[in-house]
Amino acid sequence: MVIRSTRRAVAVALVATAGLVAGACGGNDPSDAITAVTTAAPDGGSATTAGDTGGSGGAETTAPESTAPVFTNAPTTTAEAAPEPQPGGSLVVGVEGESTGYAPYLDAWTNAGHNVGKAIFDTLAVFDASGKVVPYLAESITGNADATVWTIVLRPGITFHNGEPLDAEAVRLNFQAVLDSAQYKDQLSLLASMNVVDDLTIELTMSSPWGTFPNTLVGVIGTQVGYMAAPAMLASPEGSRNPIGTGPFRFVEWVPDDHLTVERNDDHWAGASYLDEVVFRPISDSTARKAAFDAGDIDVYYTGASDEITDYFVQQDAGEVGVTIGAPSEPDVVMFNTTAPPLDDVRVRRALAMAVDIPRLYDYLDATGVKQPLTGPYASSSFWFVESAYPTYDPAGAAELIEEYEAEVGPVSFEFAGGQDPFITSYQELFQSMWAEIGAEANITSRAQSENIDAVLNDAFQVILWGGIGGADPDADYAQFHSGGLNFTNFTDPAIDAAMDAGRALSDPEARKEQYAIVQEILGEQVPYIWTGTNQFGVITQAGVNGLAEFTLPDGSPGQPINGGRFYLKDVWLAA
Amino acid sequence: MTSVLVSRLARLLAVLLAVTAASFGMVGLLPGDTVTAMLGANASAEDRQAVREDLRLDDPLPVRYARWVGDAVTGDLGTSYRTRQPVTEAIGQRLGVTLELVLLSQLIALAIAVPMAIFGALRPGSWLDKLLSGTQLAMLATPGYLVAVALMAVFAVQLGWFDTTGYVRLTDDPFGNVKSLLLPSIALATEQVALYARVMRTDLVNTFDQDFIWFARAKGNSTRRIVVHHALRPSSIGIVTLTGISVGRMIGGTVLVETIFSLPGLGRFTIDAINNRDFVALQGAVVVLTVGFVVVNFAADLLHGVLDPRIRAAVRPT
Repeated sequence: MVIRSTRRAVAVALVATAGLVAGACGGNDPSDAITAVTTAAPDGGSATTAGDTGGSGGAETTAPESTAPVFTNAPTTTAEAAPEPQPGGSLVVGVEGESTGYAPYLDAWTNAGHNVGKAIFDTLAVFDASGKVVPYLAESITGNADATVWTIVLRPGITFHNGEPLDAEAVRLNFQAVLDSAQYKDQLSLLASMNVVDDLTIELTMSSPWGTFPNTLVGVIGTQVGYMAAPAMLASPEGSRNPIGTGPFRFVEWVPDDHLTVERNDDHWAGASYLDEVVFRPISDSTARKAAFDAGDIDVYYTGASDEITDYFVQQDAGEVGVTIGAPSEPDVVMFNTTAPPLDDVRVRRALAMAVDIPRLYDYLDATGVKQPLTGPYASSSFWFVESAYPTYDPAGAAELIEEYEAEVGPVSFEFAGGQDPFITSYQELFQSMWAEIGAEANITSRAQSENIDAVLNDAFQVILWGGIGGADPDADYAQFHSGGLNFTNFTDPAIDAAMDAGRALSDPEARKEQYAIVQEILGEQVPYIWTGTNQFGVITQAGVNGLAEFTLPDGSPGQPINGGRFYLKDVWLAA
Repeated sequence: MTSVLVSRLARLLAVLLAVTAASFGMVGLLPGDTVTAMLGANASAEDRQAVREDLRLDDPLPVRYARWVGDAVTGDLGTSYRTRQPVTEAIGQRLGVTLELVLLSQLIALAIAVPMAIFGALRPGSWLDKLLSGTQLAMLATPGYLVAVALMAVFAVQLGWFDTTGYVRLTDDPFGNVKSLLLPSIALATEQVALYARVMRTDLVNTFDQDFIWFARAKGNSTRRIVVHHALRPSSIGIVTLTGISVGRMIGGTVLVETIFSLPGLGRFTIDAINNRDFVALQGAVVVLTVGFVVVNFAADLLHGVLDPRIRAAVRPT
């Protein structure tokens, strides 16, 4: 295979992303709480400007192409671009929390960390506009027939901000730094050995087939391997606080909890950016972040709160702000422990899913028109989506299933865990009332996020609001769906195991899709999760901020500018 | 005086040991653990254990505490589990912000509370006294975070007079520094204004009823002179004591205010350490805050002696 270069929903999402690290972020915003540490493959999808059909990007590829999915839902978008980009100016970006540091091989990043990371560093690969993985710092990323040996050839002439060359040895040192990290070595768990072939070529041998390896080289939540740091930074114990990359902006200053400043890298290998300077301000309180934007103190911020996005759509119509919605990220789910009675009976699980009235949930979240309903781990617009036997809303049928179970076994009563935010408790009460209507009793438990994570890790839960599953390349869900992984639901099936293994070893997207269709069909029938909808981020910009919905690849073709709450600032410019 | 200082110092050490041991124990009782906070739910059991061993988290709590105390007496407050930054360095970056915030809040609180107390005490039971008393009750009843959000909404978002976020260093721009801290300081001071004013009003009313005040009146002194030269000093004991004690409350308040106004202070650092079960960072913060609290109260005790010679005589070594 060759790839060749040419506050509402917020709070719910907080719990929904409980499988991800909260520690890396400082605030209460749900959009804060996202840092999975896994070998997750990247999410696909694209953010587009108005009128964009989200079609294929135009990057030159040779078959078989990327293993990444192609999302065709082309969400909404943004302020009209002015004709001529103008250089200069300072942009203030409000981010949802402070990072522990800016070493991609040490610090687990939330969206905030990734947004700073994408300014200072470049990755070996990126998504093109259609969601396909294409080389970026690399000129090519080539796998052998069974995807056990991968060869990365770098573009010539790229240097880090400190003048060191980006060569094969630098790539090896970066990968080695990840392997040396007790926390993050899982990101390269299949990498067995590395061989520097020449200045620009490195050969990687895997311990087993890894068809989705290029996905790992794009910087997304949970996967930071693709960011290339300067060897001097890798060698420095202070590297995390003095990041050196090849990116469009150079690090200037970091005052933790206050701001991080970067300035334009005039020598960027893909052409200098427009902005003179970017200041990232961590504002962990979501109300304060919105207030800062409304007051004009920050120029850009992003939110997972559907009610805020809805409000800003109205302002966008008046030309006051720009709103860009990225590709959907990991869905929100209600997760069952399928070994804990009564959830060990598929009739109960199906009944609980059949009782959930999604429009009622979205009405509560003010998310109508923002979130997309789901019937499985992938949105209907996703390349990976297939129809399944996932139950539809049918309270009468659900009540019958509960009656049947009760006649055989006994009452349906269970603990339903969520976070401590009162809004989340109210959200849980909505489920509770819908389940009560069919004769099932849910006892609500409110716990701190870290307690919920511990409960899930120790199988000490029955039903819980959760997140971080689905939405991306299906191989990212290997640990959750395969019996040999963490598998929080404890739902296992030999057919799923076989399909997940086969999907990992294959490289042809259509062939992989066939395998993942099997997984979706079984999940739809057995319902270890209730899929409550996509998780959407909106990037909000002041009038006069242009180019956020653009990210031009070196060959001039469009890349994917926004994914979830992560975006590139390389092509952003300010109107005079 | 030296023996007083030695005695105070011994007490400070005892307090420090007690407070750090208690905080160590309390954080240990919190559900959830450091490794979960660091790695999230998806990390493998092997990686969890590796980090656990690396950080020696499996050692019993008393052992970890003893190790920490051993390092702390040499001036090493350790390295944060989470950020890998020396705790002394991290605290050094943030302490100034919180000190400024607390100091400015105290000044604002006293500047408003003292006149309120005087005007109320001069005419006890008058409409003005009732109005001031009602205002103080409202201030006491309003949570600080609500005041902070309201101030931000009106003066930053609506009027645009202040920035909603961001801290300006004193050395960069003194005016900008005060401007960046004014709204958070007012939010932090609101509750203190009410407390100080109520305590001082009561003390002033009692003082105004003393013989020496009647004597001063009989001599024909003006009300202004009586208040400033005769009544304020003996009526200040209560408010000085309260100012010392309230430093602890204000430090607690900085957690919310620094979060809402995105200030890079010690309050935010502390709450982040708690949320992430970062024992080492938390212990460092606790030590600094405890020392600060004890020192301020020691200063308040000394000030009592200045204000009232009887107290000065009582603490004088025999």
